[in-house]
Amino acid sequence: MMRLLASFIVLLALAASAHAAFVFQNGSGGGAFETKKPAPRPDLVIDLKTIDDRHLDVVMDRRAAIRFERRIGIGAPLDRFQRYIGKTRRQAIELVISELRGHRDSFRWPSWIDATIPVGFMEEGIKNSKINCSLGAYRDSLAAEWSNTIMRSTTPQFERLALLWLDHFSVAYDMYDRGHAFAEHLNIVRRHSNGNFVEFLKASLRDPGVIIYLNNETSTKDNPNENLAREFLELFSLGEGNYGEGDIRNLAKMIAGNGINFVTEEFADIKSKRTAMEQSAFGRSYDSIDGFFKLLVKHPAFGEFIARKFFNEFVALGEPTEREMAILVSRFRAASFDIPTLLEATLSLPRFWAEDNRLTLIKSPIDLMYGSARTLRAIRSGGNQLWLTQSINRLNQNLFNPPNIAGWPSGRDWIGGQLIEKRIEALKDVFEDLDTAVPRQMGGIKTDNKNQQEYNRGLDQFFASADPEQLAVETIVINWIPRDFGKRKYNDIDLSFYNVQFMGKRYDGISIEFGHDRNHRNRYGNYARVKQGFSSPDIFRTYSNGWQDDRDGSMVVKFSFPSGKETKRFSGKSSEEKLLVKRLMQSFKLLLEPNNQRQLTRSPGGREWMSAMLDEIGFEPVKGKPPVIQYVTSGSTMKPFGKFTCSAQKLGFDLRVMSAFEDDFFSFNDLKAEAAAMDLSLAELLIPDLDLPISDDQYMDILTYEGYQLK
Amino acid sequence: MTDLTRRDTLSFLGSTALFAAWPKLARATMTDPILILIELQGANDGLNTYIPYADSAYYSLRPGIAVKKPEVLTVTDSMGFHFSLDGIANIYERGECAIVQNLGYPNPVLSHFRSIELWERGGDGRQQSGDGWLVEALNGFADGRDLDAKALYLDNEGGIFRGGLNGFLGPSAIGYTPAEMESRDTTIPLPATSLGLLGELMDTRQSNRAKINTIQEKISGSYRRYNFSRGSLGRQLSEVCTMISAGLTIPVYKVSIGSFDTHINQFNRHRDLLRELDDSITNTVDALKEIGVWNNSLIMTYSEFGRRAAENGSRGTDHGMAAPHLMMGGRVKGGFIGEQPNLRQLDNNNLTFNIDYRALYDHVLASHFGMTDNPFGAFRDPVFQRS
Repeated sequence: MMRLLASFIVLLALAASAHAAFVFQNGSGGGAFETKKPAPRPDLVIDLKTIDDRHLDVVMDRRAAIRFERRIGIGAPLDRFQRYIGKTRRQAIELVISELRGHRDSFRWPSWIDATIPVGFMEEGIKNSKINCSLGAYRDSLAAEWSNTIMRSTTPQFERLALLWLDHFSVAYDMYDRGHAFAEHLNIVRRHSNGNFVEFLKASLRDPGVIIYLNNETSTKDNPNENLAREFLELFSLGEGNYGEGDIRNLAKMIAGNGINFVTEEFADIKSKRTAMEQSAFGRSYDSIDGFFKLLVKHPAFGEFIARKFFNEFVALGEPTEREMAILVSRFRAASFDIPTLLEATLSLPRFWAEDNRLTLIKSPIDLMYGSARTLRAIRSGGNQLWLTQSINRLNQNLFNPPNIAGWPSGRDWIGGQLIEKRIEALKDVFEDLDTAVPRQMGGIKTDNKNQQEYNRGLDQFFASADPEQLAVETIVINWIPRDFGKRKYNDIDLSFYNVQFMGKRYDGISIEFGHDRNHRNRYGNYARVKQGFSSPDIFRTYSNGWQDDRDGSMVVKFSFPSGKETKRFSGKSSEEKLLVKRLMQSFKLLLEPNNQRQLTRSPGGREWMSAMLDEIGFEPVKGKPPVIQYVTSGSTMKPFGKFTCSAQKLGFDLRVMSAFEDDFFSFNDLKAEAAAMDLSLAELLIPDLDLPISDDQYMDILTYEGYQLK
Repeated sequence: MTDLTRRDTLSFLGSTALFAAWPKLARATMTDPILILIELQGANDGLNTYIPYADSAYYSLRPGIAVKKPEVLTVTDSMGFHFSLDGIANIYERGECAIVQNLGYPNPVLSHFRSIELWERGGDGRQQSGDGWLVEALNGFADGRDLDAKALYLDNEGGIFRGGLNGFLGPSAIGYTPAEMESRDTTIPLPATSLGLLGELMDTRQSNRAKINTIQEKISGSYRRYNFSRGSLGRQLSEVCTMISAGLTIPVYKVSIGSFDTHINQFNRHRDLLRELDDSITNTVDALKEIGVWNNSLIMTYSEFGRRAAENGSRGTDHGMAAPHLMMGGRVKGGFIGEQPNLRQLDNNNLTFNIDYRALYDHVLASHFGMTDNPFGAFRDPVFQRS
């Protein structure tokens, strides 16, 4: 009987997919799948006038003030919680919310973001040339600054939200190592953390870090990658159960054009990839991303998913009551989804303040480690910012590498599988013997960037002395050349040019393929192939005479080159565009120089063909100078500056300096003295919810007490 | 039809399947069931592990990476084992190894992270599930038994026991020495208001600490140490055998071996991985027999998904859907379970699943642990009810 039932289900599924396929074909790759109107949610609506908030008139004593700061900020520094003592709960909330609204972000963006050109677009070439780029240094410099910002923050409620959203719009750096895209992701997160949730959601669809992480850059309307659309509905906006597969598929087609420029890693809106057909969401139609958002915010469940997240973050684990949820969603909605208002509503819930709601939240590793360091103004000597991020990594909160798109673990997951033991060990590692430890000064680190300065000075001179008609390039890498070049149907060499100057213009990067199809149809003979978005700025003004690449949907222009039958896609290009393509092929001369490209020695067929092309296109001098010049090679260690480098040193930052603590941070003994002067024991400061009879000298006993894991 | 009646019907249908039913014992003994889970991280290529060598489609789909017919260790007239798996093939020949074919779930997810999470928790592409698939069952199983731990993982990847607190231990359980676990708890009185979460935390810690102490003591009091191979999987399984031989009562051990994500030039790499797997498993089986628990033991592999039936352009295989997995033990009735992979009806070059992996979970819980009433009863599949 089960078998029967199972095959019935299979039949149903088959029927459903056959139906879907039919609709798909009918809409010629763009028609809308059917969607359903969501059920009304009267349970999420209450009259705001019925909210009783008299409990907010209670005046706060010191324990209440410490408890409050621990829950809204990161740890409980003295100067932070003292401000609440004697105020009513309402006044304390108002203070915290107005600070949040007025927060000016002091995050110091590392200089490499503007000063360097990303290398991700020539990742393969770098790998094949065995160039060490240590791209993890990008991540570490951002992590050190994020860490630093938490430590010195005077608006920790902002940092709490920034972390919450970093988790919500989860992107793992190490998956793709795209430093510039990731920095922009962090920028978007920080910019919207205290802003409007709907604007935040809109920005998330244009976030290059999110786009790369969820592979939306390869999506097209005809073959949409549903990853981003699915996560957007499931994990960013509505939560499971509030949408159907049709909503996902339609949205995927509408946002298929949300891609990136592969060189700069910046957002790129590629209209040719997006559907122009009307789509449907939640039973209604829309014809643009903005149109989709109008429907989204009207969805009766919109806001619920985020409200639950705030409740679990600030109030308690588990589900809020129906009334609590209704209050949060109604206030959030009434404020047009203003994030500070949602926080205000959360902190105003009676349960947030209730006696029986103490020690009901489990601290995240960041809360545990950074909160302790902030409260105690201390970290054991020798430590630096990265040391602290490493300590939280070991507790399963890897700052920029959440385990998956759903973000870090949460709630009870933080203490399962004996993590509790690791957490207590970590507290000992970092905070033991603070009163006797002599803080190590982080000054005195020599930053030797002489080589880097010399390299950059030389590079400036190199570009300054080049003739406009010369193609001057910092370095060229071969991303790919087959070893059996010449024996295939299509024989390509895939090149990337890093940092280019030509005809008074600068290009961050140019990618191009040259090859031949003489073994197969011989339609082009020798050809060049150029993809939109793989150069910056694009080397052709238009790609509209090309077609869509079937792998990633980018527009491609392919034409016979240097000569052949299929030249019509090239003949309309400007003389400058034509000259540029010629110069790019003339670079074969440099690549073929002995000892330059290891890869070429393994591709005899490739070398032979490149030489033949070079013979055809020539290498006649421009005003007595070679037509193509290269500052450093990527393949050998030749002079003057040796091999191309993109390691941390070249980028001009020194992690040891960036990750150092600011000197005045080490003052645990001052903290102890100040607390003693106000008759505040460390036991009360660290666990205000309990009355532990432990003296200040035994502060590690407080830190390693189970209750300290909670708040 | 209500849930209750369906369950009644099912438990009537078959409480025994591959295994004889377990008598429920009041106290844990050396005859209690042991389950050893081996995660094949990165997704194992099933078609090159258990090979449909008689199907010409296998060779046409994989011109560059197929295992040549003479090299296949043939065990039936249509299926054979990869040549690295001679130890496992021997166990199969003795009738103690079963291969469950075409395991998967509806709406397959092809991301490593998400899909392993589903296998760990028992969800599918449509629904996520909360805790690890064994957690609720083991909490029930432990009820009334005196176990040293409910489960122990040795590879730092405890996701499969997500949500399990008390009695779910990680690798540090065997790394800690009792002295390090000494604590100042005795000096601090419990707060008068022993609150819910705090109480839970304290209890869990106390009880885990006691468990770890017992584990340490039993291990150090035991004369037998296994150390049968150099690879990481071998080391983990050696630890498992040492613990079992020390008389520890832990129903579930989890270990893992990586990395099976063979997108490029897979042939040699896969061969080496399977060899390591074969060595470690064969040694483990020998050890379990020596200890005398082979009849109560079940070894099982799992992976996030399968690999594509057709090879890719780099002599490797991409992420796929359905996959076969092995089960072996003294009471396992050997053979291939489920239909042979259908290489002529592929979905986007993918094998389609025809046994839900949660039916296997149900089967393991019902047959090995005697828990016919378990969270996966709804997936019960008669394919496991063989004579």
